Amino acid sequence: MISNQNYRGLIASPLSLAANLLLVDPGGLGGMHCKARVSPWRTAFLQQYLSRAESIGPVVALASHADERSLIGGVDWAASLRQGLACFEAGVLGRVNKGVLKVGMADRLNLTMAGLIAQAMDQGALPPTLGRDDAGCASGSDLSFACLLLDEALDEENAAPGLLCCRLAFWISEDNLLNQPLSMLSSADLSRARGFLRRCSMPGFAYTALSEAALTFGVDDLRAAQFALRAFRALLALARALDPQAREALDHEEALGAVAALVFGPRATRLPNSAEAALHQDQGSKGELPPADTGVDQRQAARDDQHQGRLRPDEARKREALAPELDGEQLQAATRSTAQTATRSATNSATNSAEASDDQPAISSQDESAQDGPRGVEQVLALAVAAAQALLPPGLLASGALAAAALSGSVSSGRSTTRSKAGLRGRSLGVREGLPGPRTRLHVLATIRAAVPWQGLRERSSKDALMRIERSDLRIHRYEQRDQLTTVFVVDASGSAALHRLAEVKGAVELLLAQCYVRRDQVAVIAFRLDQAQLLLPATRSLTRAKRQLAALPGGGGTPLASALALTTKLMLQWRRQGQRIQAIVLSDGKANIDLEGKPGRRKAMLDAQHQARMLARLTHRASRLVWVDTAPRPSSDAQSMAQLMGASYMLLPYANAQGLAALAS
Amino acid sequence: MKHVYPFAALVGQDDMKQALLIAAIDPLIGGVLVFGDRGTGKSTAVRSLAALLPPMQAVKSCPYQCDPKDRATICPHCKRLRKPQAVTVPVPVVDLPLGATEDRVLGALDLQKALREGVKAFEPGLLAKAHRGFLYVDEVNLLEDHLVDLLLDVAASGENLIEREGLSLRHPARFVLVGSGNPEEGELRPQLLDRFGLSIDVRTPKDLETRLEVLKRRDAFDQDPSAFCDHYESQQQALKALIVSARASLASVALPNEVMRYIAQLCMKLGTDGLRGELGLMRAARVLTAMRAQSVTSIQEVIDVAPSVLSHRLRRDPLEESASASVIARALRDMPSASAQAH
Repeated sequence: MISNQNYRGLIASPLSLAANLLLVDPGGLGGMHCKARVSPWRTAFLQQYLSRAESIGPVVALASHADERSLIGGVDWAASLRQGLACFEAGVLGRVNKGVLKVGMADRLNLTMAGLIAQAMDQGALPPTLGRDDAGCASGSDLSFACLLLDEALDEENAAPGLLCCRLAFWISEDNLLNQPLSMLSSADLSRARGFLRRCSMPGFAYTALSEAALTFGVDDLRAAQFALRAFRALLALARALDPQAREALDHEEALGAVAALVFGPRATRLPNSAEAALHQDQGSKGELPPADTGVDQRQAARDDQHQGRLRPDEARKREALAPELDGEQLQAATRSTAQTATRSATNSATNSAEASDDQPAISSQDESAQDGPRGVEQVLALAVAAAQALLPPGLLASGALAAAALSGSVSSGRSTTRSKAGLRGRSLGVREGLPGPRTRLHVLATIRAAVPWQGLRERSSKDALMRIERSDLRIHRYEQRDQLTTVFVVDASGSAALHRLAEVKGAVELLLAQCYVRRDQVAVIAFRLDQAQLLLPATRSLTRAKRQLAALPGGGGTPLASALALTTKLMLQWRRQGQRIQAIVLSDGKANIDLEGKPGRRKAMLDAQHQARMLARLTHRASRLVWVDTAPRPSSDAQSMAQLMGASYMLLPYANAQGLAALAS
Repeated sequence: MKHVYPFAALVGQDDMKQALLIAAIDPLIGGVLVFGDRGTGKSTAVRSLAALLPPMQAVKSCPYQCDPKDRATICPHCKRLRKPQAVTVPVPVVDLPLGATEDRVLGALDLQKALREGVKAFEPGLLAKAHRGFLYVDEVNLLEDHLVDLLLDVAASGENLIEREGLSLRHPARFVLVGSGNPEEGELRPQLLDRFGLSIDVRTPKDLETRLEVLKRRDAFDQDPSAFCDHYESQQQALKALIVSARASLASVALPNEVMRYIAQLCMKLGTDGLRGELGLMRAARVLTAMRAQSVTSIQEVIDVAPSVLSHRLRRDPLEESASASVIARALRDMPSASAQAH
């Protein structure tokens, strides 16, 4: 066991561990996804980390408005025109070699940029620029850098592009590492460690231990295991740099446990405590359970664990704090399937919450067992699981389907791209006078054409330049970019006909998605029942995802129409900010009986709903199309007046069927 | 020289490797689509393919790497040459980045010449670079629509027609399109889907042994790329030899009548659109036969390639839940004559 204080500090603090390891092997570890809003903590962290990083290599920030050209470099127009030669300037990636690329507001990073950064990381070279084959990497050698993604997203839906996040070893967030002490090692130690990086011998069981740990945490991505291995190697190098005698004294199990927790913890898709049980279950059934079901099973398993007192006390407290959410979740999950199971699970969850409070004083037996247990792989697992408790994604306990938590991380596809309207792409609309800038492109031929008539009048500045071009000659491209259409179905899932209606909406969603690849349209589903509305399917264009998330739909209960309309308004405003056209199709008989606060009472509920309908009309009437589909057997005055308030067109479709709805939407 | 992870060192994912080799042997197969989770080695496999491809003959200094033997070329550079000089060049494997502009893909006005000499000259883009080679699109399902249009157009005609910025020319652009992506992030447009000859679903390996092997090999590669590549050199050479010999024997592979009948029956049973399914199945089965150093295609080869050829060609009922792979497996099992015709 190394007693060096710096080393002990590293092992004890995941944040310090991540930050220091990243400086030892920036290229190999890819970088860090830091999910935190601007706060004193984040500022202090960045300051400490970046000041150390600066002593090692360049730190280059990517501006939030940066475009493709400023990322990978391109033609320097001013110089080109001045000299009559095509002049190139290096982009951000050309300047970041062996350093840190700091991407602020990564949640707004569009896919194109993320794709280019990922490509540069994968290939160790700049993506080729037009007109220059050598890619223009300053030294022409391998390009390697660490990427620091500062993600300020409030929800999973708008997080930084998944294709970039999965290429970064460390995911930290303010939820799990807030207030952690950060200690950076000295530059001398770090650079010594970099020297040892290639000369560390790896204990044989490290591969097995890390592979096992990845499975235990349910981390499928093979990159994660590689990252853990590289992190372990960097930690070995660091240990040697800190303490030359480290080779004998180093506790490999402890080190492996720390890196496994650091890399796999935030990526976990299952609770490691119940992982063993889940594994056996999977093997037993010889088939993959649908994600929603596994989610329920694992929560159940987690509860069982808790029941048996295997959790640490702080964990149990945390769980208890989440208990109300869990119960809500449990209810939803249960009602998703059928009415019978609903009643059964409701009683279950009631008993469970009772158990949870009973279990609070439970004492952990895990630590003792870890000490007595056999050395090697098992110990690494135990250590990793213990160390990862604080690092698990907060959604893992609270959110419904565990698979969905993993999913939403990968699905967030930086939809904000649509906002850039002028664009450098799209169908050409011709040329207009103007200056080329980050969002516009020079039309060379038109510019030359505009300049030609004036040449006789202008003095030649140098012999080389064939023509003299002035500001007024510059012409830029105009491109048209088609808007995206987002269709949102707002479905009344209350009452007895709910299941049928939801099934038809599900069919319509799938038909729409199957038809609209070409238009790249998106579909979302809001369902309202019990005491509030819920976004069942966030806007997506993936049929696969829609199928998965709509696999089991909840139905029955009251009619919180006001809540549904409020949610619709909120989402429509959000989508409109992203530059999308929206159409909303409401399926309901308009008979609200739950008010905005979720309390029953028909009069207040109707008033609330009417108010929300007016708001919806006022806030979203432009660039959106609203349809009210009346699902009552006979035309109902409630629905008609509601449609009128909303400014929606009214349709009577008592037996709403999938084809009819899809036709209505397209 | 940067080392690329050797193709022979890839662990598992046999379907993907087989499909890529088939496309390498017979470019007319029409491209490979690899759909699956992140971190399953999709990009690694495609990028490692370049090292396996035997070098080809090309016209010297032709920007489109034209084949010197191809006298009917439309290449504006080679058309004028009476006796083209041949050089040996590697087969290009070109990456098409997600956010590429039309300029970059199609080619554009050569700035230098325009500014300095006042000449309208064409500067070839990625499509020109990929001619006679592979064009790889990672995250193909996120590709912008107008780029998909361009690709579809060029892939169908085998030539790139430029009508922009006062330029008007056409040049050959025949390439094997290789796409990869994650279906959770969006579907692929049917027209583009249809262009791919083979489609593969890759999954993350869940068993410890495979994952362990991946981890060990990758680590060994990271630690000492050149030693790692040396270690796999003989296997790489064997694969290269396989590609060369399979290409040579491909023309002489016989396709017996009963195998053709089996192919037709299978496609009818599955209700695939058009005849592309049958044609693709025939072609792929022959390539596989050549790869296995046999001279006559048997039903086994058809069965082995059927899932990758047909899975994306099934007429999809959006309300159908089961995966197309299992539909095909069921159809293959139900084929009455499968065992009878095999021998």
